[in-house]
Amino acid sequence: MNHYAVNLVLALLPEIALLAGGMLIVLLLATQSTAEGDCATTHRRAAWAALFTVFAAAMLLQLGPRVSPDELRPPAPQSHLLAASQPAGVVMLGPPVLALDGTTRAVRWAAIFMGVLLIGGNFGCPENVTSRLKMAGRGSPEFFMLLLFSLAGLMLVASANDLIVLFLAIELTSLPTVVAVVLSRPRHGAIEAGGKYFFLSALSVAFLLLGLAYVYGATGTTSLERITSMTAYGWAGAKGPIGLVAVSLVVAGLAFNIAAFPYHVYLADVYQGAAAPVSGWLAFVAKAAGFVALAKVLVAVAGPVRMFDLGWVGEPVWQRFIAGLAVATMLASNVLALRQRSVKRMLAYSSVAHSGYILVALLVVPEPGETLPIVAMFYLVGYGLANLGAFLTLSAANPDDSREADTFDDLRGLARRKMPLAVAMAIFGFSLMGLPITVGFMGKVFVFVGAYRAGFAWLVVVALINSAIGVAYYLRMVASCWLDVLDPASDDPSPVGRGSQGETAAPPRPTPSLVIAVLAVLTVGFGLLPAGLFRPMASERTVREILHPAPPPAPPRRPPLASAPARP
Amino acid sequence: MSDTSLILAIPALPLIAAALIGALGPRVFRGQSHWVAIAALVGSFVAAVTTLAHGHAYSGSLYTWFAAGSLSVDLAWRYDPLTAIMLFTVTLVSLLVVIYSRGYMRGERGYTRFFAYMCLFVFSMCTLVLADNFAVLFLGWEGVGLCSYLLIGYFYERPAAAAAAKKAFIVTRIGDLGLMIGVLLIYATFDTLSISRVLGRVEPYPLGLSLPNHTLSWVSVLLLCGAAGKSGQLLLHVWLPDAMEGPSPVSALIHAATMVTAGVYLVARTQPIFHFGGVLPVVATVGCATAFFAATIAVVQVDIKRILAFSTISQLGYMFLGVGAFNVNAAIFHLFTHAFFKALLFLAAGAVMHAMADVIDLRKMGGLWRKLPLTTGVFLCGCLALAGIPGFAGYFSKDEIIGTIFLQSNPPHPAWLVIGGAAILTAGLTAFYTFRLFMRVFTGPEVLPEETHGHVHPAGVWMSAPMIVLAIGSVVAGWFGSMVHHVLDGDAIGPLSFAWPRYEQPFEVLVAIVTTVLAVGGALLAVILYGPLRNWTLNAGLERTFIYKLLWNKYYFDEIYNLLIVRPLRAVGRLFVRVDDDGIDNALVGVTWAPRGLGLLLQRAQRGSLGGYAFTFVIGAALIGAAIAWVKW
Repeated sequence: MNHYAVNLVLALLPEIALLAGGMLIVLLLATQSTAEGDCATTHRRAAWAALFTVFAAAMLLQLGPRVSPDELRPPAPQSHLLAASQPAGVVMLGPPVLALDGTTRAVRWAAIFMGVLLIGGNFGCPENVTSRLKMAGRGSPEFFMLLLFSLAGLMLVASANDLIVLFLAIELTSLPTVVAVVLSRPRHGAIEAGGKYFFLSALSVAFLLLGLAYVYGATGTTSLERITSMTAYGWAGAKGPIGLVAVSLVVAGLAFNIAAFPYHVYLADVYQGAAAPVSGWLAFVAKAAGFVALAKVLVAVAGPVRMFDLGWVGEPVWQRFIAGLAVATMLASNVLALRQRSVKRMLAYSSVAHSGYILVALLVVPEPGETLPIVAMFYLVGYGLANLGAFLTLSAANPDDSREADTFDDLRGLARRKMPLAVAMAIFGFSLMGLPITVGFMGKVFVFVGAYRAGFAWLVVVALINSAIGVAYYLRMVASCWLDVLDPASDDPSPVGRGSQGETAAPPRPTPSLVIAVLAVLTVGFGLLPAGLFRPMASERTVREILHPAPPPAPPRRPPLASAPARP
Repeated sequence: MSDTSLILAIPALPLIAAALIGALGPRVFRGQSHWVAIAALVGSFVAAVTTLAHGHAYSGSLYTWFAAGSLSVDLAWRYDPLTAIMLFTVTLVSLLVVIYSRGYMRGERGYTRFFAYMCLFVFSMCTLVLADNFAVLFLGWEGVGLCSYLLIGYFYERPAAAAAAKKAFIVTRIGDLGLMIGVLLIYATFDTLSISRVLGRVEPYPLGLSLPNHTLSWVSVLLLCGAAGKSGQLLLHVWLPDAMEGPSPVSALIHAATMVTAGVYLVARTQPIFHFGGVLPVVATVGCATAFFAATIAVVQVDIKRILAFSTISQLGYMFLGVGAFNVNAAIFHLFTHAFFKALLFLAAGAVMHAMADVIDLRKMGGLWRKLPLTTGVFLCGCLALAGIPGFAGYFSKDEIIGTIFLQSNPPHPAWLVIGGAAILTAGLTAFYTFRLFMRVFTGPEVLPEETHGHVHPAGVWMSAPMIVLAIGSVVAGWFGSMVHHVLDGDAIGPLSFAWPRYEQPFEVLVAIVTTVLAVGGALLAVILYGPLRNWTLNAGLERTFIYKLLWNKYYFDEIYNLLIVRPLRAVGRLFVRVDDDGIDNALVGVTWAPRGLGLLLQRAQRGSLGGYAFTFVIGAALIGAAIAWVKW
């Protein structure tokens, strides 16, 4: 066992903790009792254990040993040719498989932070356990194993510095979500959604893998570091035919994860089929992993590259394409969201729209040591908070309690029935719209200001128009909750008693009130104090530069034309 | 207690009370809300008296409100003779009015709201007179305007009250616009908004302040606009009579004693600017014209509160005249005495309304002295003071103003003679309409409006006590003239940075005699006409004359404004509404169809079939490849 392997383990302690915790949960709890009443107990224990695991990972992340990137270089395989030339005693080192940069730090913290909230939000999931409509006659501790695995996958994506590691990490992130969708509800809808999700995921994975293979074919290496340095030294392979095919396929594959146009089509079906908390999970984890991977690959194959302290070298050629993709994504999803009758489908399409805004964030000039700009992570977490909150509220908002609210009508009169929920829904809606004093507003401000400063003023205008379209359907969601109250004429609480179609009367679904309250407080809190969210994710200097940006340098004055006649 | 905390307590206490009542009133204090207001105002009054007695003039700053470039706005106050008198008047009258309100407003809807507004008003008014910064002054200025709006529209269910509130707000806003531009011009000229510093630079004007031509004149004219709007001077006076829709205590406090005098205060405060801008004669002319015209209107009105409102406008005209005639001391003295007797008259009118089931038309009542002896007594005190009968409050202060006019130049300039003549005539008119009102309401055979059903509510102790205090004030306030002048001259608490020129307080014997004769004559005429003679037929005959109609319709100001300003604006507004509703809205609705249509199109592609999705995915990969090739990276 050499030092390299030890260092690798040390560097990945939080991820290992999550994976080990997930497996332990299953080993200890899956075989336990099969008695009916104990299912819920088992389930609760699994949830608490998952929460504990995440805390342990957080402790390891905070207190664990720091490993410098150079310590993560594997010894290069002995080459006979080189062996002859290299001096004795010197071990050649290969490129590191992990890159622990600023983005890694940000994503790890975001994963832990959202992990706590996701586990809290999924306490009531899968429904077949909590509603005791048992399918398998036992609890589902593996549900939380899946959640922990996908969090670990997300963290690994952020630290991957090799195409193969990256691919495996993405799969580790997304495969558990497929199973979770199927598990999440005792209804055929979920199974259908899971099936679709699985097949389409497989298809896009094929694209991704093929694309990564082409990248390898074009560059001869799987190391992102090597590819980056090739780009830095003027390699233009990405512009050649092979490079073009490679990048297209990678983007197509990852576009599935981030649900960019035209890979957004599956999302509404999946969100509608899955239980609401699981939808909140998909929306954050899969999306974050996709964006991190996209940024990593694009920066590697096409630049720009930060050269020591010289600033950015190389033109970021992919930016125009990403801008176009952002426009298409925002526009398509927003107009589709406008037409939905189901709130969950609306949220699905709007989630695509947020992908569009985050694509805009990809164009922001990253701070040193980042691949994905920190503002994109800020936006992602802010979006994740409000989105999870909206889904959780939705899951608790239905008048007849036996199923989740789905249509806008189901929300009618929520303010009269459950005022706190309606208030929370308003907060989440406002944050998703991007109204001030919410985290969504701050995220939009940072992203749009960053994109503007990067020279994409027209894109910012398009994004703002799209935000305005977004207000229309989000307001509809918020207003539905208050309609009955605001309109005194309609005394008839019509939605009540309309439910329970085909379902046996189920006991009341537990409302994750505490988690919703925490989410609402955080949504407003981070809107007022964005530094609170930035601080754990980024360095002090980065935070300062984002929150108090220096005025842009004055444009260089055009020197007077030499031929112009001098004026007295 | 230090001077600073004592002075700051004067506005702070009402503010705290307003916040307390506003937050806790409906749930906690309810019917006892007045105690909070009374406690706060007693505190304010004690503080005001203490500082007046022991304090000395000084200025200070709480903190810098905001700073931008060279502009730095401090929450600065300035305590000097003018402020001292104003604070004393405001806190005393507001305290008495709030006590009165306990009896008058009992059982009205929104009882707590009323006291919250009143306290907010006192806070704003104190801020206004304490401010040593035009921005802070403007804050107080708008604050009192807001409270006036809220209190006029207190019975907002009544369309007339809501309309009157709106009218008051809009008309004063027109003046405020002038004030705002004036303040901006001051900033542009002097590069500061501090009142002390501006005045400090204006005063040595003859010693070489180089300013562009007429800058000071423009500043003064613009400030005069604001002052005229607030104080109901001619052309902008139309809101004040309508403001009588508010409850009577509000009329007494805001629309007689305090807020409407803010304009006089502003001109007095910035008098050097007016002086060196050469605008003082304009102020005097505006004041004189207002005094005269308002008095003539008051002669024929039949609504008790409106008569008093026109009388207020007229008396405010006197104050402007005083400032314009270079005798700020006399103007402020008149402001001081006027606060007593006019507040008293309004409160007594309120008591009459209270007793007469809110009927206010003097044609419907008569001989009330039998039913309301106390109210009759205090009303008579107020009338004597207002009419300027020798010995009562109004006599001293009004005579000072009129006397000053004839001292303007020697021999008197013809223009000043005209102004002085009008002022003396106005004194006669004032006495006439005052006693017309008194005689018709309180004397003669007893007539009660039908609405009372023969039952008369006497004023309770809560209402009587403040009226008695004010009645005493109306009688004796004039005797304290020398004390007020003592303070205003800076002998008591010392001047701050500048003092108005000292006058040997003029007492022109001839002028005094003429004025007195006219006042007493006017009063006697009214007493004879409406007393023993009870000659109603005289009125009936007059009603057909043109001049009567002119006065009855208040010189048709409302109608002219309606025709020249309101209607054209309405027409433009309707045009804009048309453009907005039909043009812009339809265009926008058209635009919203674009996303919907696109959505419909895209929705067609979402059939939920797996094969279709997979097909989309493959096409998508091709699209992405094409796009990447197209942008040629």
